[in-house]
Amino acid sequence: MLGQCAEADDVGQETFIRFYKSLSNFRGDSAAATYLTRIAINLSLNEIKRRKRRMLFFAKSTDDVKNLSAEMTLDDDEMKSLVQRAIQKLEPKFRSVVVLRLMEGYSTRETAKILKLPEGTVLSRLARAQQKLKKILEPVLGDSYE
Amino acid sequence: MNKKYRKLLYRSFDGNLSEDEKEVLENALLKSKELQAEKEKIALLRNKLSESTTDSFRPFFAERVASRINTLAKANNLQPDFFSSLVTVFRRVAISAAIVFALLLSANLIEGKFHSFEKNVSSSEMSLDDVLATTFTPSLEDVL
Repeated sequence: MLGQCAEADDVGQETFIRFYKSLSNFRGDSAAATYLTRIAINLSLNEIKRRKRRMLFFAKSTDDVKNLSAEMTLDDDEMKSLVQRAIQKLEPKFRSVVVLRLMEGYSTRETAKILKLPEGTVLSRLARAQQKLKKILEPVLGDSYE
Repeated sequence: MNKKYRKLLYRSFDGNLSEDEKEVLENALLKSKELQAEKEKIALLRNKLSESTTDSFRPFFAERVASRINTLAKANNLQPDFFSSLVTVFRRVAISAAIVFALLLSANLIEGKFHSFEKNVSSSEMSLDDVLATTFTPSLEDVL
């Protein structure tokens, strides 16, 4: 959700602390992993909001994804980093669906449960997110495909 | 590209198409090369996304979390809840009360040697009947 950065580590720690604090409220209705993921997603969304506010003051360009061309040859690490940056360009509501469904491998139903959304909404957001990502990564995807 | 087919294509990756929808999509895929290319690109994109998971935190993540939880647990122990404070306070009060009670009892016992009831009654010149008569005989005014 946040990419590889210090904030991601902080959110990771905070997730476990929150889980520890709310253990008495945990009724076991869902799996502990689902509960933890829900906390992590909510904290990440808060962090994204904070990040956006910070960006208003300290504008930082992340438009290097735009400078992609079909001639570029990328190794695995570069590709991963590029995909990560492309994900960062998605709106949080699309990002959370992509991360849970396509990266973490949760099913559509589990994703819907974690995000407290109807399954139909998850599917439509997923489709829109993929279209957006495909647009961003079009040159690289074309290159890998050919 | 037809929006309907594109929608079906995206949904097909999550495996929730009905038999009819599958058939419609298969036919469309056979007819449209553009749709085929789109399908392959989506498959590739999904593959790249699943490979791009960053599942590692900085070193000693577990230790850092454990240390924070320990600090939190210690802080919680330093701030006991209302009932445990009540028990602690009650224990102190109960001990002091027991000491005071023991002191009063012993003082009373010592005093009792010199001021026992029997001694007082026997030393009095009044008989028990006299005492009862003055105490329990109501006057006419009291009754009215």
